[in-house]
This record gives sequence, structure tokens and C-alpha cells, in this order.
Amino acid sequence: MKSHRGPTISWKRLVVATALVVGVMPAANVAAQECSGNTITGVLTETMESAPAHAAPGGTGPLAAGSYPPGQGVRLAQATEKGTLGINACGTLTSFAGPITVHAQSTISYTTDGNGDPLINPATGLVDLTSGPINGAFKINTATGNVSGTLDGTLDFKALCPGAPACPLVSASGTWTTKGQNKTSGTFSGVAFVPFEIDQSGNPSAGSGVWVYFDPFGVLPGPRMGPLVFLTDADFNQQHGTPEAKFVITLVQ
Amino acid sequence: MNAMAGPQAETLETLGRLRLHGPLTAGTSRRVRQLLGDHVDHQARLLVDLQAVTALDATGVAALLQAQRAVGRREHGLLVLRPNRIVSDALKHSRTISAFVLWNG
Repeated sequence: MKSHRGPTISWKRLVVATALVVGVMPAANVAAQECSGNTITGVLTETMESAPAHAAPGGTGPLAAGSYPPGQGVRLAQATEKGTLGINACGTLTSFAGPITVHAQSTISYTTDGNGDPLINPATGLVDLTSGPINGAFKINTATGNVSGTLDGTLDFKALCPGAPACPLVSASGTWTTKGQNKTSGTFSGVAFVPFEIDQSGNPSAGSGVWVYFDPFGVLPGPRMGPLVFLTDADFNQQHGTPEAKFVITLVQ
Repeated sequence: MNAMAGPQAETLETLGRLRLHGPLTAGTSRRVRQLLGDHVDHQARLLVDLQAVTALDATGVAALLQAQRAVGRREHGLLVLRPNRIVSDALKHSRTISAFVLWNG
């Protein structure tokens, strides 16, 4: 009888391979470090709360869901990210500490076959996403008032795991600019952690109900086994019951 | 900073969830249509988890498209599919993948 599990590639092998790759990528390391320059980091959660009014045709999130307009070779998605900036706050960006909300939309290209149709990734069973632009607006509730601004950059579903069959990490980078009288700008970089299910053997197992993040950087809270961080109740959307992606972002000026 | 701006709020409807198991084929399509129809009738926003689907033929795709159309007629209607490889391949080969919103989780 044919297995209905879909992916057959050992997730352990993928995790190990990916860990080796990202382990040598200093730009992605957001663990605690000495204060230098003007930076600030935060952990955000991708919610699906913005989905209802804007779901069609934009989907519900760059990491969670999206729509695929015929013949365009791209996935369109929208997302709302909420969290707090305050990790490794240094220099001028210390004043950016506080709750942050980001509304963003992305246009991600995907790999196509010879006929121009989307290629289905054998490891994930999903359309094989590559990279594309992301832009949006953010608002930070700082101790001295609200700071609003925009961001423009690139989301890359492949960069952190070159050669790996699938990647539970998405890199983001680009520029940000605040609005208002004290207009300022800088760059940002980040990593999104996409939750996935595993069984007791560490293999991908859709429907097992055991959800994990792959976090070789050690930045995500929660019960951890090596690079795997198990989702807790707080990591599931309270309304929808769906697991939520985490996004660690660092602003630099 | 806009201290004069009033609070903003939006009403959030719950996203219903339906998990389908086994084959979505000619032999089961009647039951699948019934299940989807029942949920769509009561839920304008529905996540259909297809990770445990073992087969999907034209009748199964047709049932999903019918649900998609029904949801599309609702205000703020949303149907999100969570496919596995079998489903993704079937949607791709039937050239219907662009008709759906897909969830990667």
C-alpha cells in the first residue's frame, strides 16, 4: 500500500545538512552579542489576522499561504507580523525598543518545469518557492511615542539552505525608512522560521501533530532538542489553531 | 506620532478547519461534496487539510472547485487548502492550482 505521508526524505538529514550550511553564515546569527553600532533585534510572530478582508487574491501570508495567479509564475501573499523589538539594542536604535507590527506583502517566484507549470518540491509536496520582493509598513510603540515607517527588501526561500531538498528557514533583507519629522533609515536582515511536523523518529510526518521550528541560531524560546524547538500552545493561532511562523529581524543604522 | 488618532478595530471571523482522509476520487466524491458543502454552508472561511489524502482524481478536484466557488460567493469568503504532494501534483496537472489559496504549514 502506498504511503500517504508524502515526503520520504529524512528530515533529520535535511536538518543536519541545513545546520551545516547556516552554521557558517554569520549574517544570519542573531544570538546575543556585544553591543556595537546601531542595531536592534526583535522576535515577531506571523498572524493570519489580516486574512479575511484581503485574502483573495493576496492570500494570508508570505510564509503561511498565498495565491498563484495563472501564468505569472509568482505567489502573492500578505501577512501581519507582531512582536517586540529590544534584543541586542545598541546606539541610536535603542530608542526603537517596543512592540512592533508589520504589514507586508510579497511576490515570490517559483520554480517551473519545461511547460512553465509550477514544480512541486518532492520534499515538501508544495510549489517550489524561490525568492522575490517584499514591502510593507511598520509601526513601533516606543517609550517616547509611535514610530512608523516602510520597508522594502527581498524574501528568499532558498538562500539559507542551498542544495537542501527543502528549507524551513526564509531569509529577508532590505532597507527601512521612518516617516515624520525625524526621518531616518537603515537596513534590515532577518530569518523566518517556518513550523513543520515531525514524528518520533524525526521524519516529516504531516498530521502527526508534533510541530517544530528549526532554529540552529538558538534565538527562539521554547522547549528545545538540538536545533529543533517544539511549538507550545502559545505558538498556535488562538482563533484558527494553526501553527505560526516566527520572524527574527534585526534593524541596522 | 499621531496622538489624536482613535483606536482601530476589526472583527475577525474564525477560520474553520476540515481535515479529509483517504481517497478523493469517483468512489468517494459524493461524500466529499457533502462534507465540503456542509462546512461551507456554515463557514465562510475554511481551511481544508488535505495532508492525509491518498488519491485525488478529476471528481475530487471538481469537488474542491465547487467548494471554492461556493466560498467565493460569500462576503470575505476564503478557502485555504493544505495540500500534500499527491494533491499538489493533481492540482498542477489539472491546471487548477492557481484557483486555490495554498497554505504551506
